[in-house]
Amino acid sequence: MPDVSFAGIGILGIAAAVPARRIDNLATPTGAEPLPAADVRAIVEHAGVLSRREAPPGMCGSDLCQAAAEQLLEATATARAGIDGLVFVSQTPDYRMPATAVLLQDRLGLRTDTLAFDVGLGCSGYVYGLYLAMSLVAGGGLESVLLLNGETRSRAYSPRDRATGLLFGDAGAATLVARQPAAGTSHFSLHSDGSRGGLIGMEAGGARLPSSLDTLRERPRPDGGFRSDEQGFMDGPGVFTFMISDVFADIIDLLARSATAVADLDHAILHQANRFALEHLRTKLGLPAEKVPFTIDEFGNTSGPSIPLTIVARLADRLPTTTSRVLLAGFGVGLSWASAVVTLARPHICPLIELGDPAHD
Amino acid sequence: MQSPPPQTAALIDRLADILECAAADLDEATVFRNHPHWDSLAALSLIAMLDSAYGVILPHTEFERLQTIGDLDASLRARQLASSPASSAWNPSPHVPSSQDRPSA
Repeated sequence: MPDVSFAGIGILGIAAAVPARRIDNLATPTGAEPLPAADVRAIVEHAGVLSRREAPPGMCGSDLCQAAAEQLLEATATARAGIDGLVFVSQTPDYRMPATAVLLQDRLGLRTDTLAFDVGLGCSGYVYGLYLAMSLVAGGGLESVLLLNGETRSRAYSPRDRATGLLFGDAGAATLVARQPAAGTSHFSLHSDGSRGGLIGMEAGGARLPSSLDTLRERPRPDGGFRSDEQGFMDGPGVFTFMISDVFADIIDLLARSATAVADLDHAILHQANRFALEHLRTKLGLPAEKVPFTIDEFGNTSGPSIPLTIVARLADRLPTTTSRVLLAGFGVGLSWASAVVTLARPHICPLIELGDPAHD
Repeated sequence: MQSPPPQTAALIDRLADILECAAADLDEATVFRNHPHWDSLAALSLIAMLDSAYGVILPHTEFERLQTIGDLDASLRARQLASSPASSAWNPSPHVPSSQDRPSA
């Protein structure tokens, strides 16, 4: 792909929200036939997910995004009427139709001559979303774009499935993108490989295999897993191989193309997939630990929202008062992956929102 | 039984660490996937070990086809013949194998 870069378009601010309700992965499990405790401990230690947040019934990724967006608009003194475009990135949208972005246009009180659409990407969704938002400002005639990444994956997987049941948490984030000379040049690298689409997915509930009573039945799988056709699956070893080869190579290439040395980076925010995998990738890239924040321990894998959530939860004290050069890398389901080197020039980073009631039913 | 060559012996030692067993319990005919301690976490440890100790990442489809330690050993040798000698694997190399063809720059 040719060099993809933008000049003078930046991130004015980021906000994020998580459900107040928390799942402790090591707590005594409830429900029918949970995973054996020894397995749980091994998975938790390896993946690094000690706890994650769970939206109660009725709360969607869009609600988390709405809370974040409202906070962000206020913090940046941005009028609702000043937003020209809204992009909602999710694979757990409110409905199959209409697009959640359009519903959010109304819920946020934006103008009706606002561009709004959904993007169906997961773990690559923040960097892809940023690329789209910057493109819309650079060439699409828009002055400011609200990028919303929101997911409720905690209920998209079976708690009895060894590969996925303990990993995913819910979150929503809002990012404001507009012209900003201090942002300098942003560089992007974006990839797609559908030949490995079978590594992560959900078989039923789409047009290919519509929902039926059969697709709702949880059952044992040849890979040792336990799930229905409507619950997500993942080939851990295949995805790990992808991370340490393709994602690694992409980051190396992007750093070279953008003439960025590791020493030039203030922070590297990587999609929070799995602690073991991220540590291997981090070490292989020569990124010092202090430059690579983690939130997987506290919030799990939140898919697209994980990069902005990590920024809000771990870098709020450092970013707003300075100019930082950061690497962002999102990768996963598709397979789809993207990385970017961007400058954050004194962005507003809002305090993390916790939405709803922390108590379980 | 003949002792395996030094490189194979080193591989067996590393596998014994991953499978939490004695190296003497493993040989080239061992089907590592059938080992009682083999699971997806062991698979991840193995993939990570091949990268860090040998600088080798096998395409996932090739990794899935490996059955015995001998198969693994043969794959490693084939990769090492095809690229520069194994060195400290923590130096990022532009020759990292990828499971897809990429056009040259």
